[in-house]
Amino acid sequence: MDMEKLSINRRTFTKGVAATASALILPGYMRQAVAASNSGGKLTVALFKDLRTLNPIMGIFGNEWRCTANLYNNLTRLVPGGGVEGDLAESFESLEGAKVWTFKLREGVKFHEGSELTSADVMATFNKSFDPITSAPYKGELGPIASVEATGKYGVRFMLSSPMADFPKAMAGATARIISEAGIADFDNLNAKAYGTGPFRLVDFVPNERVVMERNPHYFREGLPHLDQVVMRVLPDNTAQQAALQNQEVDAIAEVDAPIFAAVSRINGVTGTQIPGGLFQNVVLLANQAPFDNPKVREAAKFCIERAPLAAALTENTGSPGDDHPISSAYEFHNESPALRQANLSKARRLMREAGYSNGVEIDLVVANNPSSRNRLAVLVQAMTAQAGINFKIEQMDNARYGSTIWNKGKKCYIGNYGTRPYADAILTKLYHSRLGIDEGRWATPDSDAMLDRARETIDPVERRKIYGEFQKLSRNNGPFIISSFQDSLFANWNYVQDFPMSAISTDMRLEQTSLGDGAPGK
Amino acid sequence: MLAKIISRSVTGLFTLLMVSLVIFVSTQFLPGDAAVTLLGDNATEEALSHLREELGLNEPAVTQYLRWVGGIVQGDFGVSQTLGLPIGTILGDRFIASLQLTILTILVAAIVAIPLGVLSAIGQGSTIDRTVLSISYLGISIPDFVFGPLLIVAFALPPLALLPSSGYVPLSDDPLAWLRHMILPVTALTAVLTAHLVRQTRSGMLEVLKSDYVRTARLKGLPERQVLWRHCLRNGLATTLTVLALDLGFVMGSIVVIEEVFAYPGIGRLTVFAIGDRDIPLIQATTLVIAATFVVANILADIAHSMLNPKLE
Amino acid sequence: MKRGDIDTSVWVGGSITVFAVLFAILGFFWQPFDPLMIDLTSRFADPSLAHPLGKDGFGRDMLSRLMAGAWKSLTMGFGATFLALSIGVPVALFAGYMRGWVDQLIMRVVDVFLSIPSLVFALIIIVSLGTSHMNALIALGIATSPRFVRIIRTIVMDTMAHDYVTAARARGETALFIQYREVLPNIWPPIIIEGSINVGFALMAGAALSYLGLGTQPPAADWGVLVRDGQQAINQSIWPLLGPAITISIAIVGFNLLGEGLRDQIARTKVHEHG
Repeated sequence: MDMEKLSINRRTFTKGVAATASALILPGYMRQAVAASNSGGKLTVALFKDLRTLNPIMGIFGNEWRCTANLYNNLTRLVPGGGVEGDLAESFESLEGAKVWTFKLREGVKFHEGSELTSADVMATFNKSFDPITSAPYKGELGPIASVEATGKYGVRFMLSSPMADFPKAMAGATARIISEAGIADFDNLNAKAYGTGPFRLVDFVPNERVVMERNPHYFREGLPHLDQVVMRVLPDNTAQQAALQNQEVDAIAEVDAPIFAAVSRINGVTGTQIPGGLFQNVVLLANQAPFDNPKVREAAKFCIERAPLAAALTENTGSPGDDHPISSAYEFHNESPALRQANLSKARRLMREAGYSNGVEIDLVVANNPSSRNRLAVLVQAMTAQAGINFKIEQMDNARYGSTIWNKGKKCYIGNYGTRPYADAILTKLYHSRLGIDEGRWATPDSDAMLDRARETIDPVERRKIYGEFQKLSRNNGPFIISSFQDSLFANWNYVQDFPMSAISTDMRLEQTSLGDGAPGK
Repeated sequence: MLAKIISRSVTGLFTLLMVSLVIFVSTQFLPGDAAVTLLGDNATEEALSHLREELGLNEPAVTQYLRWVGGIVQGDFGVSQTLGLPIGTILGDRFIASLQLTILTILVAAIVAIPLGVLSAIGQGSTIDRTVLSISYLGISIPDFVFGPLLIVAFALPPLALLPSSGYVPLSDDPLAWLRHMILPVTALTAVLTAHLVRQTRSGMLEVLKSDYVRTARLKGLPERQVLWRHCLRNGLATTLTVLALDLGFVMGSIVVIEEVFAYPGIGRLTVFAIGDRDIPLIQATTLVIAATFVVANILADIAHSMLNPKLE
Repeated sequence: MKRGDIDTSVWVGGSITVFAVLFAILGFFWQPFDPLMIDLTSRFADPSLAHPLGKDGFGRDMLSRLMAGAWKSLTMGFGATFLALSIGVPVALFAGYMRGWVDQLIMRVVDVFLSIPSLVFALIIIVSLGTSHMNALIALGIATSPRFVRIIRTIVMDTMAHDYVTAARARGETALFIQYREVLPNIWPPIIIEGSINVGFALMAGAALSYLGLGTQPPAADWGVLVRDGQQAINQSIWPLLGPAITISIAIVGFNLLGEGLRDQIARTKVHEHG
């Protein structure tokens, strides 16, 4: 009975959002009509790190997502402030207490190669993602999808194995872009070809160098995009980034490296923007082996960390301190209490004595080279925990070997690196759930899994907030990670760039509304 | 002369074959499973074995080597594991970009260094000699990874902001932009090379100046100018040319660092990327191309050396 | 010029080298402050009396880090050179002694290794060994050894032509005796000179490897790591870059001056002896 009622509420709610969505697009048309001078021009954006593939299913790096966001569309998309609205879907609704989700597609949407979007394309995309041969690295974040079926030419139904209130947000994820059937058939070439519906079409792609895109004249949102051409350039050196922005070789930086943020913000005519984010690096204290199998040793390590100074030093004052759980203030269900843990060395030493480690203990800590802040975090944590006799021995490693031998292998402690997710469940389930996620710290218990399951299935926001609050407290006090700081999302652009997309999820960089004003060199 | 060219080419080819063997053997030892690297942690055993099959990772090493070399002979470098593209298509542009950087560097270094080295040798112990030597000591002692960023700070950032700090524009697109993008990386590369070359030229010239036949020429009463021009310079230059070819290896090592600093899309940066990502076919291809460039330059220098200086034969 | 006179460059280079070595040995046992002690309240402090080279981004004393790093960097320079010589000298002696096809074969192999730029070669070795100070040292030692084989073999060839070697051969001495008792003692000077020049090169290449994150591991730091850290902080303060950059440059100048100076001086002495 209760479930029934909830599902109705949900239905009205989701329909409401879809209605607002079309209303939200209207101002775009208006602007277009009023300020026609804004259209056209070439925008060059600097990217910082890896850009290896344009395959939306296989991409794992933020820059790859920044590119595919403009070549493809999703069923849904995130709206600033934490909501979600239809993108390729005109409307969506849930049945059976969020266990079944149906999406109604827009009619007349054309892929770049000319074919029309239908439910067959959506099914081809998700079937490919879940094909074991594909081994899609992020399929876990698409939600517990059991099957996808067409309910007509423009209707799709997802059957989930367990209820999920945030499913529409999962559909807005970077690895849930809709690819045409032709594209799926040409899967091996998706690295360097785009079979999307997005506002821009692919012109040129050189891995780790640049992506060139041009305006898609048949884009389904009429009057968009404003720009004629978008160039994304990878500049891996932060000094080079700063100089390139200064010289207007690039108009904007999509992800400013913290050490140069103050300097680029000072450039006359450039605005630096800082949005509280949820990007963090977690020191993984493996709970399946000594010494961190003992919760007292985990707690001792946590009591060594001077969080506020560490966060300031690590992020060059562009971040906030963390409290050993991943839900930063950027998340809807962030909980303010309990208060931030303060360093307490005598307590840490006492815990170590109680755990039977009065002579201290040595632990290997593996750190991958990229991003370099991981190394700096390792050095800071090492110096702080050494004071209580927890001596980390740092071993640096290239990312490839780290990825294939250390990350999530449960053998050696290491420092992980995770970007901001659109909703709490995405990061919590990924890091802590033993079945649906990776249980990175080898810490999950049936109780902790059940708590996450309950939160995921709960639709009432008040109840969800309560469960997430409890989980945050549990992972803070007992959990297997030191999470000491969150990095804000940092952007920089020349003031002539209008409506550059900036949100906590900096990888959701959709440039369809962006335009160039007077004084832009690309015009 | 033709016999010389042929014999040098044959030994060169042999060297290249051996280099390919060295590269292949050393990269065979790389730990980590390429299939795991490619598919990441969520890979199923099914997908892994499928991919291993596809990449030929299950075959014996000898077969893999022969297939690899056979492919290269036909211009097929294999497929990059991380980029999923045929390596040939990635390599071409990068190689041309690096070659431009290298040739410009060698030219500039030769134009600056040879006259300075000769002057310095002729006036051994003079003020010029001392000044040139001191500056060249500085040149070889400032690491390129320090000098590069210092150049960016000095010339690409305000207040000067004269030159682009990074990137590359093809010569055919816009010659002026091409030149502007080349100046800083070439400067960073030439600094070390020039210093090196000055010293080599100087010591080469000193050796010639002290050699028996120059002494004989002097004893014969030839005017000093003629001794210098006819005997010393020619022999000295021949030596310098060989040194220059050897230095190409030096430059090829430096571009690995400098291309990274200036985000220059060349083969050095591709090598660093390949090593960082354990992309074995790409590591093999880039290091082989770098080595091949070096070998070919050496052969050319050797032939030029004997043309300039038939007496030494 | 009398024998025993010493060049200015040898003086200067020798002094710098001695000072660098003393600095490194001192740094191994003692630093003014704990080089690992962080103090987040004094990040990027400018140079002061207590901290003459300032502090880095974690508030660590730069002078102490430079001193501790000196040991790491110099062991890299000397260690890699020592390893390169231990590989290069025996091979060169063997090739030079055997001559003929054995020598030809060895030199072909050496040519092959010399066709791979040493930094690239070292990179390949490190990738297969893993990253650490010791592995970087080993990789550099292996990567630079072919150069020594080539240089020393030429010297061995010259020495083999001397009367005392011919005499030893005539006496029926063993190959090993001739290589190590007759030839080797007579070629020490050039070996030491080439070695000291290589120390400078290995120091710089080692720093480059550390700079790329493939050498010394944090929280320890050699001069390459310090340069990289300093460069990353160039927007906050130039001191963390300047100290290590100047130090590494001076040290390499020192080794080069010493080696080159000795080489010049020995060449001159020879001319005198002959003349």
